[in-house]
Amino acid sequence: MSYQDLHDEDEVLFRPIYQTSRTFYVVVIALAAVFLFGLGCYIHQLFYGLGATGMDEPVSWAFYIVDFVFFIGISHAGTLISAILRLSKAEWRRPITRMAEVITGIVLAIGGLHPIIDLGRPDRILHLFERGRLQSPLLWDLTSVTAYFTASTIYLYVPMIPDIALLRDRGGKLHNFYRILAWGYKGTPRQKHALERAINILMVMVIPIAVSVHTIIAWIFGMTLQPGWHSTIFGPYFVVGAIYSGIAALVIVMVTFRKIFHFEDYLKEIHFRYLGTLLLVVALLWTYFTFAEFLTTFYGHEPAEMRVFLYKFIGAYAPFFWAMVFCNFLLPIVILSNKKTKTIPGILVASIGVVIGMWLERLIIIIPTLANPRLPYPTGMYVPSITELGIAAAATSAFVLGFMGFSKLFPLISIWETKEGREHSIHEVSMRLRDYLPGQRDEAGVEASVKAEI
Amino acid sequence: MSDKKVFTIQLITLSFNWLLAIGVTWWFVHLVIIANQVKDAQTASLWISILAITVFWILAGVLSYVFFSLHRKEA
Repeated sequence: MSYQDLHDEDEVLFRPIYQTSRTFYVVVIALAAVFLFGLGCYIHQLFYGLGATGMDEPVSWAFYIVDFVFFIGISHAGTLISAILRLSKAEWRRPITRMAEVITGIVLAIGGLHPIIDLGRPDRILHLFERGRLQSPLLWDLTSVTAYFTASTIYLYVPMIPDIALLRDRGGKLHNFYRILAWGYKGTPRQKHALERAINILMVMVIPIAVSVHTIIAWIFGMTLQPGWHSTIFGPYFVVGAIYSGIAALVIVMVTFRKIFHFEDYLKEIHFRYLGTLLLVVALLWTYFTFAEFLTTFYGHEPAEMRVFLYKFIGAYAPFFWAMVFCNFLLPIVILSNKKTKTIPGILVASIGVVIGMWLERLIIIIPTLANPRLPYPTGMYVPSITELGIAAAATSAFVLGFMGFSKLFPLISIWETKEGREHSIHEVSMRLRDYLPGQRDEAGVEASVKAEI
Repeated sequence: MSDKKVFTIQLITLSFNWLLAIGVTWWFVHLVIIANQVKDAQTASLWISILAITVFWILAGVLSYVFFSLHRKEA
């Protein structure tokens, strides 16, 4: 198949790069306005310090840290899910991986800035470089987030090189830009082999890095002796929550771009059904962890722990807690376990619910504990200021803007992986399937897929 | 744009990754020295540093491997 044939066959995947509608510009202007408002809020905070926020003693971590944990959680959509699907040779991954990896890159960049925003005095980040303590989970966090960002950016870029080469060969205004990024790729067998080998190394590397990132974020809380935080299951609980919100965010992005760019032929109902099943499994896992966490606290009935517990269940944060239960448990499980509602709109509704629910979960983990300190202080209360709301809105608009910018430069669905799927996977999967069944060896005892590889 | 210019820009972008790996190494060595000076969990600091530094160097190595493999002339 020549490059020109490929262009014709998958032309719809190039279209977002070369065609821009008026709506696109309107949305960009609207989001840029929101972003600039948030930037203004941050400049205001720089002048007036954290007094411009709703944070006060004892609630000294709030919206920014909630958003930090939430965004880093969403980042697990990409690299982790994409790496697991690639590693397990799940063929339905092909139109999904690129979008998942882009989510990771963008949200990590946004989420990673939140602890600096939370500092009030951002210049104090330099203390970490000068006098950081390596045994502090905060420093592990900085390191693991940086490593994850580096790994996921490379993991996004390397599999994109063949597609960038296609864009380079098409010419156009950005020819030199693509020429630089294509790294001289011509699709020779040696180049393909090098890329394949690098992707294999990266996908094995990013899984432990991704798991470590959210485990370490959990340890920032879990390694304190604060009621509601000091828990041994926080590491895996956060990782499960991260994957949960990540899959949900991925579904939302896929449905949106499917609709806008007419990717119906690539992102089919079966992709959503598979992701819906994955979402259901993780929903049950998340419910199990949540139940185990709260039951242990309730059974122990330790007074300081119970103050936080009751603050969540029947206190000031009860509406958020029960909204979280509805969004993360009832809504997705009811929708996704019913065949009639497990449709694309149904899965989208469940995913929107999960994203909201997971943000609420981060909120109810962080604030009730700080509002009810172990020391004999009066119970605190936190209400976000307009500065915090503005910055949160800016972060969300930056995410959408980032995605829109990406869609104007690179294909949102991997073209070369689609091509590879068409050319090789049908044969490869049928060989693999034969291997799964009994009595499928030749006379020498060699399995079908092994023979095909030879 | 000439091939030489393109290659130079590509090399510069690749070098950013190495700059990051070297920067992280320098920073961690600095923190290990401090931990040693103030006798503050030296062994843990050392092992955490070794782990983190290795990750960044492998990542830079993988990217360099891709770069030079793609630029290698076919036999």
